[in-house]
Amino acid sequence: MQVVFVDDESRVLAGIERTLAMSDADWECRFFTSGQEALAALADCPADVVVSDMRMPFMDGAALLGKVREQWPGTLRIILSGYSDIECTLRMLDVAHQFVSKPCDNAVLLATLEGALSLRALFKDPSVLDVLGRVNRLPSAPRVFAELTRLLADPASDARQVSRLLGSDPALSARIMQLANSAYFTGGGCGTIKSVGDAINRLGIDQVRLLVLASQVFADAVEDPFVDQLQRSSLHASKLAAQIIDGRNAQAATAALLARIGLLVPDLRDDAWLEVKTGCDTPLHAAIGAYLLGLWGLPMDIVDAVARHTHPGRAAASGFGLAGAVHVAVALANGQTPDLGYLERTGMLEQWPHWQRL
Amino acid sequence: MTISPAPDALPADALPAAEYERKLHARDKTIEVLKKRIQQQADGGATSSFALLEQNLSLGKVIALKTEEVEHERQELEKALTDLRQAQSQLLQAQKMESIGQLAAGIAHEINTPTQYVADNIGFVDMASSSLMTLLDKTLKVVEAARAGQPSDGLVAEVDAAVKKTKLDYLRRQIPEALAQSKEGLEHVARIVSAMKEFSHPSNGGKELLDIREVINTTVTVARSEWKYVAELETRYADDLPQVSCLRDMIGQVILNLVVNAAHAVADTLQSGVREKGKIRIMVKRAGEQHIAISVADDGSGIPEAIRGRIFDPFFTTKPVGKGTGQGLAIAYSTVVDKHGGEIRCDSEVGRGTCFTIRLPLSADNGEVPCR
Repeated sequence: MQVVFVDDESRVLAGIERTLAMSDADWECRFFTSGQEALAALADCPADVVVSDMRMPFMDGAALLGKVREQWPGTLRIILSGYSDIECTLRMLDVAHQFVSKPCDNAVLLATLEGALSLRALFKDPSVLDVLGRVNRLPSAPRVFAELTRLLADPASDARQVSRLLGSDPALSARIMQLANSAYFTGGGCGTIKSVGDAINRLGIDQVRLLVLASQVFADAVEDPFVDQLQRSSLHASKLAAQIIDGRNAQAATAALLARIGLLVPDLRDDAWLEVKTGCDTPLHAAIGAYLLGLWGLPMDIVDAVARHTHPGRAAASGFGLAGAVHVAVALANGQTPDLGYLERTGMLEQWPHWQRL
Repeated sequence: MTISPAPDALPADALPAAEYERKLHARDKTIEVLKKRIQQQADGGATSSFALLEQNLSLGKVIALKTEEVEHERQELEKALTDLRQAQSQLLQAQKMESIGQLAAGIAHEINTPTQYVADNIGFVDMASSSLMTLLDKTLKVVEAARAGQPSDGLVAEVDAAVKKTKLDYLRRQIPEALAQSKEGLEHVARIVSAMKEFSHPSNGGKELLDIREVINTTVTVARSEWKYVAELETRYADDLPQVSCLRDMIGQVILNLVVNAAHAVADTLQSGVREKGKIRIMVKRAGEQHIAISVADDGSGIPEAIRGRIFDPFFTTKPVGKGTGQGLAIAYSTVVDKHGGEIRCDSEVGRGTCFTIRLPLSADNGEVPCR
């Protein structure tokens, strides 16, 4: 596994190098004090993970990771920064899969890297590479969703701009309205949502983001009954996940909505693929789904929860958390029983009867 | 080219203050005139008739009424003047707090960075020391066995294995380096914290004799994260600098405003592969017998001629919303000119850079005190 670290303060790099030297990690690590140097080295030999400081002279972390995203979209991108300026934070959210703030405990840094590299290992599994190689065209990032995310990240933007963006695609607006008025979002009983602006006011911006994501990801639902069914169960799971885990609503709802997105890849549109496993024993569709989300630049927590949603207990850091909530929600939405042994280990078993009634 | 601020470039608050004082003066004069007239009439009132008395009485009433009115107005104006003075000092304090707020994110970064590597290094030394201790224990066992006259190959083999595992050469090289870098990191943090304390501490309202180099060094340290990503900053101080009588925090604020402006001007001109860093130079030298000159020069974008006359105006700014309130240079002007009786001027050329020069009078009364 190849890891590249970039920080304009060479002493930070030396500290990280020493930490790694004393750990059991056997990654190939390279260290650079500027974005330009790192890019030149990456051109010779790409990396699985790039960890960059934010504030650096001339090319800052966001600029560097933006370039990495363009040229090596499969590389996982992490910002390690002690800078807390809000504008910068938003800029890095746009290009980084994860943000780790300095000072961080070296155990945290190691755990983050391990998580990233185990995802990369999953993506490099021969069966995943085989599917990726055979598929001519991977579903591209939902464009409007990406633009919406950028718009929401910009403190200068407002609700009118959001309405305008969503209104720019009539087919999309129609699907958003249709979904917004479905029982999943309104609970069925609070009158009709008539416009995108109305949806923003009534449902809140996080819900509208989910709507947009669902509308775009499951755009084929109209003509493909398989996708239609997938969309229905995904929306259901999304709602359940948000109820199961209160604190991180938006992330859990998004992760559960996207948990089975791998099944949307044209070659995999069949329930039979649910059973096919990779060499790492993860369902192939979950690995492909996670890979797609990584490419689209979704946060690493969500990518990780999707990758592990069928076997949440397998990761090193095994609390309940996001992956657990997504696991339970997806199982419930598809009429399956979650891994009760896992619920017991994480102390959540007593919640199970309550969740069954949701 | 050189420009001196036009008279209309006076800070806005100076105008209303002068206006109020003028009005007050005018009212006082009115009262004076009315009093004199009534006195004259009273003096010249030999032809005592009832009518005249009545006239005088009613005139007296009018005057009493007017006097009351005028007195009331006078009090109001005085209050307005006090409020205005207070507002002015609040504005100064507000701008200071604002710039500290802007600096805060950068200062946090300046502190978080060394904290990161110091923590990493301590973790490293911790682990290194525990594996060295294990090695030491094993070695001592060999020594013990040898002393007892029973050298054991098994124990020696254990030591060999531990040596291999411990990466001795690596530790020998890295431990001293890790400790040295950690020490530097802690010194860096201590330096920033003490500069912040120095910078934000208000002077007790009065002027004090200061080594201006210390004020500049403190300010440059506090603002480091504002310039270090875009420019090299150099300070050049003449050898024969006397101490200067000034308001420490306010002069620090002026230097900060100039350095931040310089950094912004330089940042606008950077271009990948062509020019990745600019230069900011702060120089202090004597200017004649009575003054010192502090200059802050950059090789940034320069100030277009069309706006040079307005740069000291309050609220004048070319920066985008949220990047500046347009108070920086206005406050520099009022601090240097009004509070210290000095001068500030700006030399600028578009595409070449800008140089602000401040002339501050030395202590007027106490004679000259050399810097230590």
